[in-house]
Amino acid sequence: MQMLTIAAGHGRTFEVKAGQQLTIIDVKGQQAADFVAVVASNHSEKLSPTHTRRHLSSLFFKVGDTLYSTLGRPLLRVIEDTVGVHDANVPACDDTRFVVDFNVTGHRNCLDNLHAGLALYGLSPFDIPEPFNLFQNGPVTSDCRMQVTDPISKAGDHITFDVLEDMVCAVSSCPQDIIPGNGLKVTEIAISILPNSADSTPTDSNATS
Amino acid sequence: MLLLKEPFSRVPLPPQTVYVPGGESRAIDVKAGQILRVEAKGQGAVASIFGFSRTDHDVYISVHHTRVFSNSYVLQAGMRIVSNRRRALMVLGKDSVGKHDLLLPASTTAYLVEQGYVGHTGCVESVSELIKTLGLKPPKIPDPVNLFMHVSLHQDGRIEPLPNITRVGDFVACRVVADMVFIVSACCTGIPGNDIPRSLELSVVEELNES
Repeated sequence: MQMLTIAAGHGRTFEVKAGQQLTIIDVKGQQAADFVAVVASNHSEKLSPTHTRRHLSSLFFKVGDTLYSTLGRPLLRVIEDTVGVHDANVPACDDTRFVVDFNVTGHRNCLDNLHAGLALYGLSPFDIPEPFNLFQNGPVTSDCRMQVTDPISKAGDHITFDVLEDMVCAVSSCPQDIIPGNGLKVTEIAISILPNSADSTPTDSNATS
Repeated sequence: MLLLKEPFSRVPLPPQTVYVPGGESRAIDVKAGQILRVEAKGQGAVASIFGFSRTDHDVYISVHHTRVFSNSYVLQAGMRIVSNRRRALMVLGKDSVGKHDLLLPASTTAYLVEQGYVGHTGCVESVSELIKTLGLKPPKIPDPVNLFMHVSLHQDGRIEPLPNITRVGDFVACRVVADMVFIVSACCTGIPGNDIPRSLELSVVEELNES
């Protein structure tokens, strides 16, 4: 099993292979993890919240659902989720999020975090797909507005996917520390990658802690 | 024209009108201060709109940033439609329908075939072809704002496609605040209830009563 730690407010890029299990862990709780992926053999095919919404006819996903690519192909299947609340709506925070919306220059941001590693694969900032914001909480209000609020995730909460395609992934521990979103305290995220389940003995859900 | 303290730096431009046949896409150039009007010419029309800067290829309408800019999953009158750099490009000023989509992707020809729509060109392919002829070089084909598309968003996140309620003559009008070229697609969306391509009319005026 491969374990990666992502420092609070930073990002990491890593590869996964079809048949592996990918787990993203909210180590301390109430921390959003922006997650993007591109297909290893064709970087222009990307994990897409927009196309996933159309497939699922839902803003949200649950255990058993599949997440799809821009070409409508299945890339990940949700097999375990201790939280059940994630966002697939909000674009990654970037320099303009902080400069335009919050009057702050030079803030760490998810787009830079995601791009730092993906640049080594030849991706430009514009090639970074829209993210799935794991653990982020964006409830729909009764008038279809987006409530800005903190995650409900607690220390050790996690989500696990079956990986269906070889992919290059990046995760950012969202550095947003101004508005509700990370409990005003940015903390680390952990990643575990289990080898193909056919090659290993079954593990219980606490194996990641 | 915008009511500025100093005289406007350009002369008023004559009105323009562009007809968009059902199943096709067309472009229209709009200068800052003008009003863009998109009108349904057929019952059940959907207008998937894209916008690009001619001077900065890296600036385009972003439906995702538009949602977050207003903390809203749906498009409502008064909302700013913003760029990928989170700057206002235009405002939905008049809206005779009130049903639009900010969540669903543009169709591709392959998706339409897969869904059983035969003989249609996908929105992505149609818009991509048009972009080439306009000399635009956007870094990607962004996701569209789907004007007149009727889908209901429930509080549990369910996205429910509903029968389109757009009638002939229904329209939206937006004050545009940046020089942009807009591309509007009347291609088949592949979204149930909103999947019959109907023609549209685009018009650009300095003031609404001109045309």
